[in-house]
Amino acid sequence: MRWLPFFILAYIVLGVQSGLSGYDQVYRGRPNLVLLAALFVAVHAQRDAALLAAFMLGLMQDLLTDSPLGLNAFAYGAIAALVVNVQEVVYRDHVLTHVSLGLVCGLIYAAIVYVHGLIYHWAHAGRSSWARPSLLPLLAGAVYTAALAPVVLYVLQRFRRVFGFRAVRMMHGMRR
Amino acid sequence: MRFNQVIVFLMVIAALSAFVMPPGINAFRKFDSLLAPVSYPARKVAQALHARTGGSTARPTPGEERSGDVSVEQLRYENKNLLIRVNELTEQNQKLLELLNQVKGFALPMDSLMLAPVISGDPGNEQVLTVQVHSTDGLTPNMPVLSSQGQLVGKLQIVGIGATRVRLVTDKASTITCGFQRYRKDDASFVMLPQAPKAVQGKGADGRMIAAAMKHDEVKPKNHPEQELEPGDWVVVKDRDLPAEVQGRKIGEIEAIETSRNALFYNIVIRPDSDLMKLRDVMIVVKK
Repeated sequence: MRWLPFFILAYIVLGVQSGLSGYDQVYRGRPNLVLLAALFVAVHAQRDAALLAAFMLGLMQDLLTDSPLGLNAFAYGAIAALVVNVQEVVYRDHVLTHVSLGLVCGLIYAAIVYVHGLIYHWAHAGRSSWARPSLLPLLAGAVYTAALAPVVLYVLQRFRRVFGFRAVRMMHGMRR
Repeated sequence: MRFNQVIVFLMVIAALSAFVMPPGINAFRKFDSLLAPVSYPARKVAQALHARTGGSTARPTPGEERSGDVSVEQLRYENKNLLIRVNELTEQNQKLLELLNQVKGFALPMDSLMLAPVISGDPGNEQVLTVQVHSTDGLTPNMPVLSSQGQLVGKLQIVGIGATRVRLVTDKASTITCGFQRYRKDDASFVMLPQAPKAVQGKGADGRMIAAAMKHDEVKPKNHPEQELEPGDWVVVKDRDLPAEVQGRKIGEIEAIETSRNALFYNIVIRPDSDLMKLRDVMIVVKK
């Protein structure tokens, strides 16, 4: 994978995600465009590059929010670890793949953030200025992300060559 | 070391940082302005689309929502608000002119407002705005931030050239002590209600606030039905931690009075006049 296009993608996605804040809310949920970018990389890139890229996307998002440092990095890293394992068994260009992966990954992200909120507030009760996220906005965000997944991933697929992903079969062939 | 081990190591560090690390580490989180070349145009496009589709940051008052129409009383009420605002601005203008005459050629005094455009919001679900300031001189965390209508919208959270963030009053982590005020239609005046100031907490993505667990006697005082809290009453700042300049400023109106799980208590739901996450500019009260 070429890293310069990846960092440009990360920059644009994080900028758009921050810029649209307040304007893209539906039922208190927000779409997670950064998660979709991580999903795109995890589906197409080689395993090692995909894991590192998703982790870095999360870390960059952590630097822009007030959530405890490492939360998004951990969540995206965990999601990428799951997605890279299904690279071979999914039809990566199909709209249903995009919707289902968007929904599953959105729900996993929501679960990680929610459980983290419970643990963190139990561990740091009274000392934290960071508020525990509510479950409903997270779930609404997961559904919203899944709904937008086909559009965002379709656009990203058009630029797939720019990222220099290698075919999955070729990667596994080389490994063997 | 194999790559797998590196990734596992990074994930463990991230998990430890996220779950175990104590709160308050913000030193490395001042990069918001780096994204401004993308986030600001994206926000402008969203604002333009929002305006084109008939959206407005202003919300109808609870009274307007109930009637679905604008009555003479509501127009009087709005007129009164506008008159108050005009008087305030006239006074400010007069004061500024006097100060300008006094200082003649010197820099303006520090007790002024700093206008700051909003460049982005929180990438997640928090009610936090990032603003662009031309200078951070004199800015410190917890300084109050007002909307262009003069209402308190939040406090500075992080200050720096790389990022200056405003935690809105509607954020879950925001708490401000407030009192209650009522507009009298008969003589077009405002009267302060006798209820003791209460802690008002943000509700997060909901965009509202709540004064939780108010006693029955506070909400509905015995033998004084005229002092009962009602939807439409103003909620104004009465917080000792905030400077005198913002005391008495409105943060919202009572939208609903709900019974809490324990029937003896009430939760007061408060709504700001506008959707604070859609603000275009804010004013930082520089004087502390």
